[in-house]
Amino acid sequence: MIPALLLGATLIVGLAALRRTRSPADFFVAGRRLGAFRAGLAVAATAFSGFVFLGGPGLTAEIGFGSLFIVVPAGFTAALLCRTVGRRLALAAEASGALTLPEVLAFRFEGQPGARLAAGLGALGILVGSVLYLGVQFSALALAGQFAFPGAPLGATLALGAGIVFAYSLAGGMTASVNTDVLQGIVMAVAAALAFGWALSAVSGPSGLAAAVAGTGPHLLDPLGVLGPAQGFGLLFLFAVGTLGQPHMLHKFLMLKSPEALRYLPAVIGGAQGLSLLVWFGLGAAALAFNADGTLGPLEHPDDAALAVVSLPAAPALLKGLIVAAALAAIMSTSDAFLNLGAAALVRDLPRAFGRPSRRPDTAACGRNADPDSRALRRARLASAAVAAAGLLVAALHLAGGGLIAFLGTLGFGAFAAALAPALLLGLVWERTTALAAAVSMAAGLSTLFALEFLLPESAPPAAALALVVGFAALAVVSLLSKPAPIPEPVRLTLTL
Amino acid sequence: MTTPPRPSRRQPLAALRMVFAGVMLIVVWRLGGAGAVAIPAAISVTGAITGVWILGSPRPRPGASAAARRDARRKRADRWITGAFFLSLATGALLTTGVFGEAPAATGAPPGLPLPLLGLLFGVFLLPLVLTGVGFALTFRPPAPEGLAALRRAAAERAAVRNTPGRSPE
Repeated sequence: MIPALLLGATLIVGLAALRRTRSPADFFVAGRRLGAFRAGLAVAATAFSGFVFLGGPGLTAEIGFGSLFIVVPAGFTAALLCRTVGRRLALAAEASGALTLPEVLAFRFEGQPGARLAAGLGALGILVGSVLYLGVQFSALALAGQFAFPGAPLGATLALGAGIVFAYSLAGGMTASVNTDVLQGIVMAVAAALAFGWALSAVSGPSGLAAAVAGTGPHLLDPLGVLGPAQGFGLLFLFAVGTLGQPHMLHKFLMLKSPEALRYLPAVIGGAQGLSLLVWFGLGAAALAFNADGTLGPLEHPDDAALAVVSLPAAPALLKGLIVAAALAAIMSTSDAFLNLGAAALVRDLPRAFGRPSRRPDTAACGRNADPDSRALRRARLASAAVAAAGLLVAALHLAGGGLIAFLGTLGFGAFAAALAPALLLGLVWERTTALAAAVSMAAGLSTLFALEFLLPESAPPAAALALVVGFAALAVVSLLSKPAPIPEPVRLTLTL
Repeated sequence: MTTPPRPSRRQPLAALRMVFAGVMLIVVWRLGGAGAVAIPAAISVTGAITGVWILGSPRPRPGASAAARRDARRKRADRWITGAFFLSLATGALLTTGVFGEAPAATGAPPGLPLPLLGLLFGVFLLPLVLTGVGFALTFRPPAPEGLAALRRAAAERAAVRNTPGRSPE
């Protein structure tokens, strides 16, 4: 009942945005009308996918509280984002009218050799990553949908979930996405807080949890008990610094109505994320305790742990409905963002980077809502349809192969981190950064990630953490070896204001 | 329309920090558990440097304007909050590695969650969450209106030049 209500409400809120979607700026950056509250909830909801609600507790059940290394950086990443790249992204949008992150890169490196290559590589990475991430989200949507509607075939729940996301994203673009994110973010926070409260009382508090696992695996309560120090702190490093390269979060900074909105963003993002993370800790703890005392039977898949815990007879039915709804909300809020990002890369960034240069007047000179032609909107919607189709294909392959959501989520996060974090962070804070260095760092980061995943799959520090370091090193070295490029006045002001 | 390159006020410290962190990861990887202290120790050193930086934070000169006094107060608050953040992070990381013992029993506390887990939850997550959220709101400095106006003017002038046939903004 509750999941069905959420799906219905999401569809209504999303489709209502159709009226306010008249230009590419409405479609791609929600008309740049976001204040701190909406932007903060949108960032928080988008950042947390099914990975947090389904993968997290499952991972905790498997490896213990070492899994927390993935999420504790959320304690400071919101402020880190706003203080470093967020402020400059908002100013770059103000100066250039950029609707996408590759457009910000093009603005930053304008006039330099390799500027189009840097923007194009960024767009390519975002397109490929968006399709892969979308596929994982769609498959998680199908699995969670089966809990919402028991007995429904997997194909039907996949079609229902993906269909709803597709319908409102196509109609209202990012305006619909942000409006639904607010609703979904609230559902996620409330459900997670209630789940945490119930789970702690169900395991009789921290001492009950400690007593339950004392016989079977007390090391599971120690963050470094199963993970080695290099792996644990490597994850901490990756998820702290790598956040600066996540396009679905960074894109929201281009939607702020004013840089002043940044003031309360860390508090809103951190508050919403902090509440949502209670589900990871709460249901993870319950899964550990119930695994230890045998209450929880053997699971077919670790990702099933969260839903298995709230399906126990002792759990209130309302809680099960809320958690399933929150998982659906988390998945949908991430999916719609990637649908939009992929479409923008396909229809705006890649043609500009690798096709003929546009002959149309520059949008920055014409104001924020320039280029409001309906043909551009039609192209954007067609591109969304193409990205959704590719995502569905990945989801079908993923479901057939039985992949682990947590693993693919970490890999996707790592790919974005390695490709984009060095170029965006250093590109926006260090004047010496060159376009060529940005392009080299993206290529170096991504190729290192895939080489390490292939050559050293058992490496203790996560491959993505090492790839991130390689990306930063490549960017710094190539920038220092390159001839300093002149900085246009708008870019200099963006970097220093 | 362009300014000549000048010595950057922002050195590539971010890149150096990332490379440093990578070296730390490799140290821990090679040394195993014994090297685990390297990362918290590195965070602690950074925290200590931050402490020195806090002590040197600007004080308003006698007779300074109200705006200058407000700005000095904001900068001092920013440094104190940053210092508290690093202290929390360093303590949390050290607790997580177990250097202060494995369980509350070692410190005489009642049985429950082990100290490393509490260190990670409180030192690395909860306290930084509050400090950075509240601290950022208190010390945020929005771009000055005249700065924003200059930014918009410069962007419009550059776009006008770019859109003029036969002219390059360079």
